[in-house]
Amino acid sequence: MKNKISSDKTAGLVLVLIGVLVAIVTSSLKITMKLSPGDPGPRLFPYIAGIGLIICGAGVLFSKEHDKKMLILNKDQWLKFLFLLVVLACYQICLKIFGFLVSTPIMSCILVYILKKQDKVKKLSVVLFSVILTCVIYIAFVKLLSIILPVGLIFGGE
Amino acid sequence: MIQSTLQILLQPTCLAVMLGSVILGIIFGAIPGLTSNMAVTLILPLTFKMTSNLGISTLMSIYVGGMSGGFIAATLVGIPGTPSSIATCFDAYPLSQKGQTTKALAAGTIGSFIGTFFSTLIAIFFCPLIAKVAVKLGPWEYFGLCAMAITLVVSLSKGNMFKGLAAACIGLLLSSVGYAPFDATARFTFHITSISGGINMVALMLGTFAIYQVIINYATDQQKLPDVSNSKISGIGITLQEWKDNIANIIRSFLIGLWIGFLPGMGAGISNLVAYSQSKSASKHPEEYGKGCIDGVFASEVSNNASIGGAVIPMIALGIPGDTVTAIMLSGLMIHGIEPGPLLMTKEPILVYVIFGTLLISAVMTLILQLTGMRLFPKLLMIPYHYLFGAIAIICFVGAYSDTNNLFNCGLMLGCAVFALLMQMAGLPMGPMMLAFILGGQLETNLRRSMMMAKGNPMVFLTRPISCIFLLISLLSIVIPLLKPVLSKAKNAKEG
Repeated sequence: MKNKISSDKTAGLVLVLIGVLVAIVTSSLKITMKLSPGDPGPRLFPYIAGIGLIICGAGVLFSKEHDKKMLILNKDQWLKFLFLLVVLACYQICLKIFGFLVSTPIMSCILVYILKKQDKVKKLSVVLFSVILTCVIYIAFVKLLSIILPVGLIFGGE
Repeated sequence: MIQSTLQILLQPTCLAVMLGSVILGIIFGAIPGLTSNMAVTLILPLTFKMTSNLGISTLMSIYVGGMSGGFIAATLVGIPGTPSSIATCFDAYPLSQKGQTTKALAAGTIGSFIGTFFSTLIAIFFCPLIAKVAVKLGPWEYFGLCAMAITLVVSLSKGNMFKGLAAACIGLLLSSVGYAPFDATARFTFHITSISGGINMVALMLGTFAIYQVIINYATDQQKLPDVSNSKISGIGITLQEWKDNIANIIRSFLIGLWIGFLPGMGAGISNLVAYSQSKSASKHPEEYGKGCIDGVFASEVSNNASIGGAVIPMIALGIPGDTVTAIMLSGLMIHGIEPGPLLMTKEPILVYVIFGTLLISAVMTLILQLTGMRLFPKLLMIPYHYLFGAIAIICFVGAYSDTNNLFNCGLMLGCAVFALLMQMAGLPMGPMMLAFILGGQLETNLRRSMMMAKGNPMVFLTRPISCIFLLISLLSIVIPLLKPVLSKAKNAKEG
């Protein structure tokens, strides 16, 4: 219970800070063009969002009711979240360097092994799954729909 | 018009794509943790190079399949496949435990068909009428309408209204990133050219709906389902008397679903619960509800699918999404270069009728597939999560990249997954954020246009009656839930 209340207060405080930051950045926007005299200009909308965040953040901060729906992760769950996020970020880097056709089968295998946890999987099934997934996506996007997929820097891509 | 629509819809390619999409939708709807939102978002990039007619048919078919498929897990394992099938669990699962799995599945299948098919017929009738009125609305009224749509969704944020409003403000803030309308002032771009056109909609949706789900399911170990057998599934199992007894229940649930679907933000996730409780209060045998009563299954499944037609009416006639899936589909239309709104009916009449036709054909396809493939349902729940989520993660990357051919979007998508986690940790609801993000552009454009036309006089929003009504509803939808606890406390103190 204490955890939830303190998370609520933190959330409220962060919302207020974001609102203040938005208002400061908005006030420094450079306006190059002045339209008709009635136009409130491009600053109005971000100001509405920023001030709205300050008011709502204050509302959350001083609210006596605490939210029961907030998600709380323990240390282990945080580590797992960050681990999978980093793995996926590595896939993005691999796509840039090695392209889709090389990176995808390898990453599919890695993802299955990470996501399976304690379940047993056959190596052959994982390899087959990875190859089939890569081929199906490649055929559907590149051959059927003419959508370009990353070629990879080492293969002359951008 | 009808001939041209049929020529498009009855092409073998279109029918095959619709069939595949319906099957995919059913699979996503059936498996807990996967939703039709996620299915529509994942497939959206695949439609970029399709014609707009085929693309929107694909998305609509997934929507219908996904909405219908939710009852499968609700019946077989007592876990709703989607939020729209929560009430289905109350009676379908006990029925299944009593050995009447077939009856529960058949009621879900036929109830879903009745809801989707007939609500679409009503949408076909009402859309042109509403669009005719909507064409006469000016920027003042549109501003009021968009504001009302957002605040109505915010008002559903149970627990803390401030959090719902804060989520909507975040959505507005995200929508203002990039060049401003009219004068192209760069806002919050921080010299990053990849976001000068705004936060990419596909990356945001894939990150918040799909990648976040994959990572959080892994982190919190939500990957196991109980085993189910298909030995008790054969035939239909509903008697003629049960049909007769449920006619009034079906009609009432249908009308509830249609109306709730029509209201912005209040989709199938709410209609199934409202229809279930209404069915129970109107029933001659309310004590049987929750113990395996077929009436409860009909009420929930007819109403949640009737919300499809209800949600499509404002999407087509006004360009305002009725729920999160229609919001995603609306963005799909925009990506295809089609401007949603009341002029859609006059500018793109064939596309509009393709949408209606797809809904009708998909409803029939879903009915046939579910009635004939009932014995396969337990197998759907046995697909290993590690293969499924692995494939989803890869498809997300392909989808995010293929929208702009830029790997920056993949990074943005991962950032959006972290953003979704922070939103959940702060208890901020995703619905208002997404709706505000999608409607933010329209809201700002109409606000600035109105102010320019009124030479800076903000009173114009109140002097025009329709705009004034919309803004009043907006205000009340926020103020009433905020004042309710204060008023009830004062009342209690008076009585005490």
